[in-house]
Amino acid sequence: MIKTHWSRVLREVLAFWLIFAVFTGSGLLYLAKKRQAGFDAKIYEHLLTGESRFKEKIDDPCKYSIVGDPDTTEYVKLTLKCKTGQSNNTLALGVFKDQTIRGVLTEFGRINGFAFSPDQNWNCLLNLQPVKDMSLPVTPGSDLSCSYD
Amino acid sequence: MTKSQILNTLRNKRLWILVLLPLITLVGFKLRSDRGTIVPLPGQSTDEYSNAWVGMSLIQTGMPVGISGLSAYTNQDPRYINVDRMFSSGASTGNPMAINYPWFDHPPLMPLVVGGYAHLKGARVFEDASVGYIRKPAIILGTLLIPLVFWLAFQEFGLGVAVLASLIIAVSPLMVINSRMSQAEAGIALLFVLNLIWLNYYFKTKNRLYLWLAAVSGGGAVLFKLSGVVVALSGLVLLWMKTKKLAARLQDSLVLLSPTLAGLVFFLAYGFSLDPHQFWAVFASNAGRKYGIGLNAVYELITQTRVTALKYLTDGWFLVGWLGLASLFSKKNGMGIKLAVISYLAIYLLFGSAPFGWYRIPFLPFLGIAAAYLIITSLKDPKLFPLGALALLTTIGVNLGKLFTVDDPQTVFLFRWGNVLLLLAILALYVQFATKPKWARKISIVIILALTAIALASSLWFTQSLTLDAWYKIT
Repeated sequence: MIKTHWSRVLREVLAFWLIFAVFTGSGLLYLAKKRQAGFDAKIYEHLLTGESRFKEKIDDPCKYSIVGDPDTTEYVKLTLKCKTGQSNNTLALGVFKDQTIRGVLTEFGRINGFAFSPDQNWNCLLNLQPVKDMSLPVTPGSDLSCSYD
Repeated sequence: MTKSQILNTLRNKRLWILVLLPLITLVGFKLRSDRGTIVPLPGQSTDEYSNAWVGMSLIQTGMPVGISGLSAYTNQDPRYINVDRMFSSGASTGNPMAINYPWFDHPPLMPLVVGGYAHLKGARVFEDASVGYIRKPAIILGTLLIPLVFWLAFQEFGLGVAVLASLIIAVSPLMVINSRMSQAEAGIALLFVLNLIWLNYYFKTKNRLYLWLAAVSGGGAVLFKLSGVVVALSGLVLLWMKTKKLAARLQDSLVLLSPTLAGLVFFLAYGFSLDPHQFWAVFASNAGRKYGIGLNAVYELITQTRVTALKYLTDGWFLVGWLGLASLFSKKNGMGIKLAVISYLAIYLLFGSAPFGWYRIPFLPFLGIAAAYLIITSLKDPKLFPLGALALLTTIGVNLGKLFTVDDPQTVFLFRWGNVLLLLAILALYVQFATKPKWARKISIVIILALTAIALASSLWFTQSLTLDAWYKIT
């Protein structure tokens, strides 16, 4: 009786492991093929920075601020001044791939949902010095203040 | 209908279940989904987004990409992904999200549930994964827990405890808020309860299908989070207690543990197929985390009810649940409930990590059942009547303290003298029980039922009052 029970149990368990092996094997193979065909730097970047079609698009750069203070000494203080108000932000500089004034404003625009363009009427002060060249680098601890008409 | 026909209909348990259970579940669903996307504030736990992103990236690209911040990851990519404008709402600290891949913090089942749902709803980039989508699967899991708690409590203790336990889980503010968050513990809690239900059927009928269903529940729990191993371990202890012959114990253990072992093997195979060095480094790093719950973890677990790391939401039901558990230990029944809580306590203390409120979710269904048990038993056992009444006063007091202030003299008058009169009544009745008059028993039953109704109503009221403004004021 006991042997019969053991043989039945072992058959059940073996059947389970076979089914598991088939599902796991095919699942992992499918994921590997998906990665081969579907994952590269461009796709990764699109996942992280692609614009959401559900997100509100704004034309007022000062409408929202990034609140809080990042735990890093490599930050940039970004102040935007508009006719409608002011947006005060402290951002970790490390997130910006392009650490120029143009790069910071473009990325900030993407984060908040407005389209930055150098053709727009921006007047910027970098560490209290007026700047015209948007390709100037922004260094850690910088204070970037831009007004927008 | 004659009087006896009416009485027979009222005594029909199936009828009560068919009427009450869908109603209770509907109330629970409504409470969870109303304001489900604004309280807790989106971004108060970035785990919700991480779960969705890992699932979405797995489905779309085969590579899990999520938030971690563990230093063991080679690919460390801080980003501001302003989903739900969480960086503008104050929920965030201003730190960018630490994006890592391949993401191995936890097994992929919860991400696949949450991310899969978001993908079905059209989310294709990470910013699409709004709480409007990603909290829905959690709300459904939390709602499904209500009838499962009913079912388990009915198996263990009967209809009265089942109705009350499911009501507690449906209206408890802590349970409602926790049920909105897309955390893996929601899946573990569900499967933990289901595992015990199947095991109870197995012990009753000896039908091996139930054993396999229990086993699969355990395996599924581990695929939500590794702490889900508690489901199989707790079930194993219960199995050994209920099965006498060694051969039967070993055979059933082999069945019960196989899917859990398979879940662990799957996670290993999944990790090694993606990046074996990274997988091992993350596993070792997770194992070496700071013991964030602290050495007073058990005291804090009982006396404080956290929702996130920093927000506390005191809920008297679960304090009563610990009392109920204590009273259960002197009884033979409810062994599954007792083992579940003790086993998960062991896992909770072993894993340590951080004192996040959601790590406690798997305790809650069992504490809800224990609370219901204490109250229903106090209806039946005169010796427990004062304890049941005091337990209910605890819950009522916690809720009233949040709904009213002590600045209103009328409120204070009612509260002070209402409680004094009630306690005098309880004392008088308790003394009368020594001579066992019927009228004393009837009055005590009315008191317990009235207090239960007030406790449930005040919980419902408090849960409904948790608007965004009220949530900001909670510390």
